[in-house]
Amino acid sequence: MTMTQSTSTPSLKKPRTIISKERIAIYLFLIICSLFFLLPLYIVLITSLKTMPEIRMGNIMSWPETWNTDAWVKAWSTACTGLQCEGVSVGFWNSIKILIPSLFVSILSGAICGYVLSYWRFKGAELFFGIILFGAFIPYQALIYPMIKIFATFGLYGTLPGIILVHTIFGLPIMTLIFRNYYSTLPSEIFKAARVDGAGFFGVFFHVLLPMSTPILIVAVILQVTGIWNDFLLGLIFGGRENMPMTVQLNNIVNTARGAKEYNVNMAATFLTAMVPLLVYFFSGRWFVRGIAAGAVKG
Amino acid sequence: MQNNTNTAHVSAKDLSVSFGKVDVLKKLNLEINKGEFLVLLGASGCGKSTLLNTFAGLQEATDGDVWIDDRNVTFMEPKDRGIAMVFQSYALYPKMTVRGNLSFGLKMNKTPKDKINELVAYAARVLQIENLLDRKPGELSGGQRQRVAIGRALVRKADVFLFDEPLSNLDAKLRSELRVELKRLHEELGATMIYVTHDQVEALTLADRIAVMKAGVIQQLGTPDQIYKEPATRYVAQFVGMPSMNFVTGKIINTSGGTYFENGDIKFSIDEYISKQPLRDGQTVELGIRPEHVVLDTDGSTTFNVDIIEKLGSELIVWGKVGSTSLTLRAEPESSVASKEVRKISFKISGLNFFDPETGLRL
Repeated sequence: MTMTQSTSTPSLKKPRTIISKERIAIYLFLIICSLFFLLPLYIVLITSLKTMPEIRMGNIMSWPETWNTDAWVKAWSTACTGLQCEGVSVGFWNSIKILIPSLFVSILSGAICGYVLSYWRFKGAELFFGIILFGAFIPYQALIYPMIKIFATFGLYGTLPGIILVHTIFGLPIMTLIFRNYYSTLPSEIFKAARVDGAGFFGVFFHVLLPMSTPILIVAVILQVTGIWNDFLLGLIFGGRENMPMTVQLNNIVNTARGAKEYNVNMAATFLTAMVPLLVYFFSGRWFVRGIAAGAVKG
Repeated sequence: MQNNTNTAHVSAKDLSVSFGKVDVLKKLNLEINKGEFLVLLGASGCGKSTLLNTFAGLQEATDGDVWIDDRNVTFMEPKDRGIAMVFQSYALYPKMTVRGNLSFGLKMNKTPKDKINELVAYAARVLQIENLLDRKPGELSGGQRQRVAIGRALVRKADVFLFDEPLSNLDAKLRSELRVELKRLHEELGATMIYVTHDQVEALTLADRIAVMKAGVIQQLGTPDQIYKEPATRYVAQFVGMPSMNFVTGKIINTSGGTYFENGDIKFSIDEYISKQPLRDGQTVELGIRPEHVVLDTDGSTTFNVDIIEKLGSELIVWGKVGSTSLTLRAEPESSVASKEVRKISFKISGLNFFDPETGLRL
């Protein structure tokens, strides 16, 4: 009983951290790792802020003498890809045009697939899920040629709906997987209650389950935004000339054969292209981890 | 205020449900009367929840039919069956307020707004959750959540209420409170209620009739009194009652001097026992006798070695042995019995049950 005095008022101070050799080693390792990954980003950023004469001096790591944003402006609006000189801005808007509908359609169809596989179990559901998952492991280069033929037959090849459909198809396995796993952690009695309350297939989904899906929706958005934004091959092949995404545009600027290579413009264009996924991670990384872990912890 | 004609007759006809190769319900027949409180009682895995889900339309029947009044509802959607259901885990919609939870079903079937408000207000008043209407389920205690879940069933004005272990997640005190409230609700509404539980106290206190289930089959259907006093099978006898009934395997001895039960340790006359079938001489039987029918009796003919005594306040449970046969008996809290004592006991003939050791059926 005399113990209660001391245990009932626990000190809120953190226990004193002991800086052991192991801890120093761990931190050192982590710092080296992060430097390793940050170094290219650093070089891209400072090079983009230098002038060409300064770049030619060859001090790749050095701080820019003067901060010069001309390369950024040029990269965005006037850099040339072949004959057109409109910068990556065209690609940016193309990517947005591809991203937004693809994001909606792929996440929604993945969520509905996951919902069906968790709650509306039909004969052969396991097999169906197995086939969808198998899709995640097929290298998509193997599917490109047949898909081009199929898309061409339906007049979708080289169109915006075509590229949206491609992203939906390739996003479906992983989207289905994460939504199915998330929904199978929710208590099935909620689903039953909604059925008894008279909600139909879409009623249950839109009124009851979707509002409960925020954590996994965030994960899905992050995965799909980065996946679709960073895509190069599919956009190049299926997008058509009108819808070249930013990654393709960037490649065209960097690889353009005319004149001397403008490293600062290339670097700025690269950074601009990488900005969207970077910002997405920067602002929602915390949610991403939480959402991924949501399946592991009982809600 | 409420409409007392909301009640229906429910029946299962030759109902079978299988999950793959496992038969969960086997050709089950059950008639539930209008306005009856029927409890499905059984250990987990006996098929009681499956039966309830089949009534609700949440589980497809493999064979047989479900009838509600004169409608064959076997292939109807849950919402068209005139049922409401309350679940063990409450199953409230977490992102809706209590009001949203209560009105969701009404919105789904396009009830006019003022009618919704009226019904929600009615349910909130009956269940005393009026002050909680604008909260989210996460902000409620377990008892409050289950009230909301019951309210959600209430607003549906269903003919039949289905309860799937609704009190199992609550602590003991809340459970007994809500039990009384459910009983009151049943009397007020007069609706048919089907209630699944594994808790015999809930079954005995709430039910008009209890159906005791085991392995997809109804072992006995009867009033709580019948279930307790005249269990139809050994399974029912051992499942209902706390502490459990005593079972002693022995033989019937028919002599000119009368009929006896004997097992080597115990022997007593059973002349006054009225059996369903005549007991043959030398027949092996299983005697079942509840602890309250084994009494400490200074004139008793059987010697009982007391082992342990449990004091429950209102009574004592005495564990001990006659020879090598273990017995439990119930005694008054005043009775001066001590552990390791040797006492005399006798058996109340009115409390005897005999079962066939092979079929488990009552003899």
